[in-house]
Amino acid sequence: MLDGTGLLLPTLTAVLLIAAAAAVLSRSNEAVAQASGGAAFGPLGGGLALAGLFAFAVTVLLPGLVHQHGFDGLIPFTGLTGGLLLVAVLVGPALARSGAATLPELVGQRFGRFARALVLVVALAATGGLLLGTLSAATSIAARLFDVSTATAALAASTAILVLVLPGGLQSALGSSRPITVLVGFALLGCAAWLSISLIANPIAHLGYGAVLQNIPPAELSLIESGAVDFGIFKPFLREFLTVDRLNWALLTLCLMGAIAALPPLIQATGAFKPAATRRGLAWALTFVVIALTAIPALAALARLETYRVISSGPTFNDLPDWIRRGSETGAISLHGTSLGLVDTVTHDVVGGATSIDAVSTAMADRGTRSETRWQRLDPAVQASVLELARKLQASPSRSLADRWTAYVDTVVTAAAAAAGNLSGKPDLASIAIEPQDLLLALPHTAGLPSIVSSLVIAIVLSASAVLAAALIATLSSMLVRDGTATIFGSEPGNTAEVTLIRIAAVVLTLGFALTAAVVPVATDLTFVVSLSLAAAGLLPALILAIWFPRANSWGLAAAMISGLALGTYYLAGTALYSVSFYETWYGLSSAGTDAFADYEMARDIWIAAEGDDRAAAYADLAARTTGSLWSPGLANWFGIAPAAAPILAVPFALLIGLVVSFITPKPHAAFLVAFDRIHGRTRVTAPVAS
Amino acid sequence: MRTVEAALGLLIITAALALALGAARLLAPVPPAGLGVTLALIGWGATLAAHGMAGRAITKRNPSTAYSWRAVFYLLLALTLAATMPLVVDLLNLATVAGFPVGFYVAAQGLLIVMAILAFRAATHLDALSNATASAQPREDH
Repeated sequence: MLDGTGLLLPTLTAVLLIAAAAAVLSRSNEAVAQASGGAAFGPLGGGLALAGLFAFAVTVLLPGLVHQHGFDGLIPFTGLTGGLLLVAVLVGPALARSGAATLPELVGQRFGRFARALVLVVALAATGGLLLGTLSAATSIAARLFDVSTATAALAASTAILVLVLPGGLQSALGSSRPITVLVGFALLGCAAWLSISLIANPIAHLGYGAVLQNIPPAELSLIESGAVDFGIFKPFLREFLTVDRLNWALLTLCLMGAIAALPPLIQATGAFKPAATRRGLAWALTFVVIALTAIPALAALARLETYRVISSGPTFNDLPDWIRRGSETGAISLHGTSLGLVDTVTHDVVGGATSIDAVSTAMADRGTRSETRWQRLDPAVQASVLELARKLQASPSRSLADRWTAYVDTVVTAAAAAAGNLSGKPDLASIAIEPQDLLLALPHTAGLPSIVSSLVIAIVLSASAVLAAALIATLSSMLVRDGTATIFGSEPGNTAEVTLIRIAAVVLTLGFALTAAVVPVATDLTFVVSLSLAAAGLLPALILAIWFPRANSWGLAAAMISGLALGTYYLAGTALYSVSFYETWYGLSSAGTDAFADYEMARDIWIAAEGDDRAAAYADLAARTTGSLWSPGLANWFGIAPAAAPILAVPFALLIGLVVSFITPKPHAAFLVAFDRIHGRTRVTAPVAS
Repeated sequence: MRTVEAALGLLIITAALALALGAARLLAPVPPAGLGVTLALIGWGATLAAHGMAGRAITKRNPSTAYSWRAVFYLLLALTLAATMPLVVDLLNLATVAGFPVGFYVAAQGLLIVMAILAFRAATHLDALSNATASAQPREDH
């Protein structure tokens, strides 16, 4: 357990106090500041603040992705940076010139109340999904680290979020983001530098890891030749297009760029810049994000090569090096699905009175979905051996890491290896797994750095998640109050009433979302994909019509949004959930070709002829052929496009429908054309006559 | 010159569509282009055309139109770079610089740095055109 030294709680409190102090310094009672940052920051400070919104993704989600998938895990890198560039060129300046505080308000200025309401609903859904995914991941990590239930972790997270949001809404959330971004930069670059110095004697990991990359392919080849890898699931680090094919690599990148460009929290946060500094500020934000992102492949490559070196040296489980032992102690490195961290967690449960496997299962369920899933995935014999060792450790708690490791390997690892069919007594590559979300979190402890450094890195990452959640809450509450009242009553409330309502909404939303994240099992990656797809398919066409097409009217906008969302949802759900019927309907458009359809027909004939359990098994075979993953299509697809790339179909379709409907319905009202000119920095003297 | 640039862009887009639809086989025995190649070619054609149109507008002293085309140019350039990268990564990986296979380096660092540089260039260009639009506004309106 990482909090074994007792340093984690005080360190986290100290970092959160720094963030809270920055939030209080950025306090405001102005409604515009609550909603969009109130033009409070210059380009450099604002750039730091906006970059902080990506800190959680950079530290928790992406390192593991690159470590697991190698080259194919780099898709979000281009997507995030390209998306920020689109915001800088297209959306940010438009919002600044329009004077709108939120995305629905910008669209409302161009198309009226109905359009504003429509955009509000989609923006709330997209932002809410991101918030739920963030809170779910953060509370799950906090629950494991502090060994508390997810409900307790969610309540603590709510308190931290409200401290950052209540002083000034989005302005204070962004104010708190600045010191956290600096700290995240030090933590990430510091860890990378330490690892780089230790392993390749070069303090600049960004430049030095070329030497590591050179050694990775020979190490992989030697593992393959020695039979230490399962060739069916092994993904060489530098080999491209193994998880995602070439076409979908490009399409997913374009979709992510579009989604980032239309993401309501990011668009609202551009209001934090002084209007003349919006583009330059976004360029600085992009620069800070690039500095952080470019360190991640270095970390992933170094971790991969070290793992290869360990396996190549052919040790027994008992001879594994200290960094694997320490990684296992944190729970970040598992051997055949078990870890010393898991044993320590069960020991805590035993101390708390859990005496049976069922009781431990209940305690694991309280820690969240991830802990429960990990526990339930173990063979019953392995669960029994973990419980038995936990009882022994409870009886004699003050054992050294070396003693606990020997006991762990002799009992738990032996049982888990036997259950997995590994009777060699030696680990192969498939038996050593690094938990993706914990790669950076566990790195300092794994590398043998002092406990205070380890606690500090974890505290910074958890604070970054609180800052992101605070910004999302501020976005949601301000849209709900400002755009909700304007949609219903025709105008925004007065300043004092609006600020009060935003604060009340922030409290209610924070508690509601935190408890939902604690109670409802949420898959973070799926939630993020759906939210980003919503933003790309629903909001991007609305933004493009608002900014670039003066002839577009509210009818066209409504048609574009509805058709984009309908097509995007149909494709995502059809290819991922109802793939058999989707393929039956659209096999002519599938990239699989006619031979694949002939094979499919044979499998379908078997399904039609089967009865009872055989029928279910035959249908499962059909579904396995037609369903791929979110990133890689099965037989059910149009032109080989993956389910997660649905916006690539939805956005052009929505724009086409929107423009056609706009041209066959009356021209927009003169007031809306004035708003169009304002977005483009022009003043219309003679407005055209409205029809 | 700018007009030629815009026309060349449109020509590339037409050629991409012809390749995709198989019409190019009437002239030469080439297989239909896949979706990725078509998107990349259309992207480069449109980027070139937008750059030409922005240049034309600057020559004609119309900063408002130049601003719009220049914004479209940066937008298309970012999208096209992202769409083209997977098509050339194998080719780039044939070369290694300082231990980095070039294709991997471009995806992990190079393209990201290019995006950051583009953001600063876009800020400089678009801010200047935006200011020019604002100062030209009274003359245009009266």
